[in-house]
Amino acid sequence: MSRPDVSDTEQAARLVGLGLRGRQAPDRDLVYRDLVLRYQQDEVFAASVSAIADGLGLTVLDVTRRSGIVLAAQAGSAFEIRIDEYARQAKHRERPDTEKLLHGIAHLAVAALSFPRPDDLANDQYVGRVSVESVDLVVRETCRLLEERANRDSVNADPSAEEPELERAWRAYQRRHEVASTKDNRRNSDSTRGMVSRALRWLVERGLLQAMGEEGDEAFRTTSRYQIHVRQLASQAAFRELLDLGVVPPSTGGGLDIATDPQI
Amino acid sequence: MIDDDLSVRRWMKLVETRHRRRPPRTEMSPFDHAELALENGRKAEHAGRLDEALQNLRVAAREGVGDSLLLLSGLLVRTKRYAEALDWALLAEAEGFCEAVDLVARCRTALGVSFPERPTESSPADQAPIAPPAITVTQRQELPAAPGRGIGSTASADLGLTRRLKALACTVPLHELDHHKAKLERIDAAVYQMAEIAMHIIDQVTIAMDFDTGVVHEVVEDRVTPFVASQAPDRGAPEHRRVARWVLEKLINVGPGGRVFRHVYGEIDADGTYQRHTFDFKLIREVAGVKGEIYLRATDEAINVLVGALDTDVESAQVAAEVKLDNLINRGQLEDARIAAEQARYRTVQYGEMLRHKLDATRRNVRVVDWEHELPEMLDRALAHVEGRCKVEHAILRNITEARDGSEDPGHKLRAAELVDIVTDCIRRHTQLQSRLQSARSVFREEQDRQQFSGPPQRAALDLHGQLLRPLLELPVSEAVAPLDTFFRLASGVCPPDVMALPALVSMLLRPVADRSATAGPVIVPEVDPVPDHRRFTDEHRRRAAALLDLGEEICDLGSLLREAADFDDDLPVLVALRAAHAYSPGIGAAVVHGHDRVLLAVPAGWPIDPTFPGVTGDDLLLTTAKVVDAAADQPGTVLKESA
Repeated sequence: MSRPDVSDTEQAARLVGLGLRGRQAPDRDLVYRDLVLRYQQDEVFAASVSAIADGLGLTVLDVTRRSGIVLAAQAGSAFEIRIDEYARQAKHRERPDTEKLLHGIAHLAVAALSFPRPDDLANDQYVGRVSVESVDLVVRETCRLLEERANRDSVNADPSAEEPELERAWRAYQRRHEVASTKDNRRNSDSTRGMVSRALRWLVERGLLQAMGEEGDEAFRTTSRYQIHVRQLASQAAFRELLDLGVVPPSTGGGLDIATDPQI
Repeated sequence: MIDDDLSVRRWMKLVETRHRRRPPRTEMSPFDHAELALENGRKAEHAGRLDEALQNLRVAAREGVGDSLLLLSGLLVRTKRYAEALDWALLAEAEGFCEAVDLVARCRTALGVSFPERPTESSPADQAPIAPPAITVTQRQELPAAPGRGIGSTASADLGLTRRLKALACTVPLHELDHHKAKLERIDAAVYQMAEIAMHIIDQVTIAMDFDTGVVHEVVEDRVTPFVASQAPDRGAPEHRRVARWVLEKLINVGPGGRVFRHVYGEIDADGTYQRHTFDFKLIREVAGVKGEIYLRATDEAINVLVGALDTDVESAQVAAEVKLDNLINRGQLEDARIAAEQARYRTVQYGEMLRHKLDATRRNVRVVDWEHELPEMLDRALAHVEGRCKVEHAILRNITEARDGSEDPGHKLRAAELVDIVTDCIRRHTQLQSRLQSARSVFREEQDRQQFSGPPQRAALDLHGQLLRPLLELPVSEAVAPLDTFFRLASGVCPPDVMALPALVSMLLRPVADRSATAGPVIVPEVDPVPDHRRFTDEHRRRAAALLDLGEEICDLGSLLREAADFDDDLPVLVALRAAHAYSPGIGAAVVHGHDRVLLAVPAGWPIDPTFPGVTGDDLLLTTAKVVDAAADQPGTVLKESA
């Protein structure tokens, strides 16, 4: 009885394992770099990496020298994190939906500000820069424009007191304070800036963003892993859900209109 | 103030009329005729001849002389001819009489309530041929008001109501301060006028607001504490400071409410049903400064409450404030002028705030701002505004400086000097605004170069802001959560589950203490269990005991009642027995005070009670109820009259 050659499998699993450690980069790790090279050149190896990832509930999005292996969790896998867990906080004053919504908006806004134009999202060389302040300001400005439009379109744009669940998302964001100080002169994490700050740090922990400058600056730059995640998966899936909801997002206008969803 | 302005305007028109009137009737132009009619109408109105006044004023109003439009619509409203009044009031509003706005709202409300249809036929007097007195000059046959203009929309009439309701809501937090001041622990807060302190705080925050910054908490407390101290000079300084901080926190609305005041109001919507809406507002909000420090800024709502012009258009209110200032200075009333000047400055700050928002948006992202129409128009308007204000304020400054230098009275001089300071400050703020406006366009050009002309796109990708963020923000909260969850899940990579290993645990435990994070942890609102009910007798027991003991006129012994009670459960007899024992010495005084009309009475029956009931021993009692008669109203001395 011959024992199967497991060394290839071990190598493939090692590559998947490296992908789970967000902060590892091929440029800083010789083993990692060799594995990435092998993935790019050896189709059999690439197939076994994909199979192992698939078995673990992961999908290989891309493998490049810059980003290393970029993995995404499949629905229901052990590596998945849902917004319910992320936003879980002992708080009962608002409906839980609102908390989830605000955290979700913070994450989406970070992406939107990291890649302000479709071109930036498409360009592999592009490095976006974000800060807590700019993210919050952009969302607030968008909310303000939506408010202006709502005021223009209807006689009374105030939300109905009888159907609070129909409140628009922008209003929930606008209502939340942007900063607040606690009794011990620190920032309140319930504020929108507190949420954006948490989102940014959380992405840094996962190796999707990198902090720049001094610690107090709260400025960050994107990594190519984050770009791949946003471009290939997150934006497309969210967009598809929007289409399913019957919301047809407007085209961007101007000469740089980009085809929307490749699935359609 | 409105009354003053109005009377001044009327008076000026009157003088004008007298000077211009020429005797020969043949040369009389329609204009002169109209002015004469205006004067006649005014006299008739004073004399109480309303019909004559109406006819004269109609003639005058058709030429639009003086404030005839306003007088006419006012008179029509008084005589309840709302439909015609509305037409004239709308004209007056278009002519720039701001008092007409009120009249329009009144007419619309009245029409909306009492005349569901457009009531042209309902007021026959309106249809009567208008016979101008003696002189007949060429007249237009039709009323200038086009039919159907502006009538019938109850929604817009209610808008006035809604605005007033909202303005009222903005004052609620101030009133509540005085209601809730007893909640300040260990301080007898009765001597403090909290609403006044709140107004003072809003004043201070508003004055200290600039384009970039606000004012930090401590500075506000420092500035307000002397005012608090003057309310209660015998209390200690720490207490004054605590009161100031408490009021400030209430204005920010610190607490589980989420730093926003909510007010529910209702209005009749377009299809006639009553709808409740929520109005969210803030009075003082915390904003982050450039270096991450937290500043306080007064919101538009707060400034409106403070200035007293509730929910009005910024620009027109500013113009009004300045006209008033000019008047006051010309008449030499400097004390009032000072207040008006301060109001003008608040308006200036408010306007600057609005522009700051727009410029910020412009700088950040070229694409989300409409640079084709909206922004150029806005910049032009703002520049014109600054230009106009600078002219007006320089003129005012010259006038007051003359008043200051020419005045003999030292008090007068001092007040004029204060006024000069305020107006100088206003001018400084305008200049600051102007330089910002001028740099806006170059920002746009630079950003356009960078963003739009940098080569063709490489592959298809979504516009995250325009195609995801914006549409999502427009969705209702419940619908928007799912796409956001998807985005979050897929954009945040993989999350390896934590696996505990001894080396990792040890290194985690030995890790040096991290610096305190600048962001505090989540505020944990404890989930409070309901207090367990330790009472032996439930509400059901009490209800049944009361029913059993409601004897009316009959007499009953305790033993039989206990037997009835024992059918329910073991605790009820005990409660009945307890109440019976209390009835041995009934609390008549309490029964009178509480307004009970009957009271339970017990007397010993002379035999021992049936020992089968656990916990009840002793003599049996005879029970009945007696009517309570108010002693003062009846014979004095007999408090209680046996009815059985």
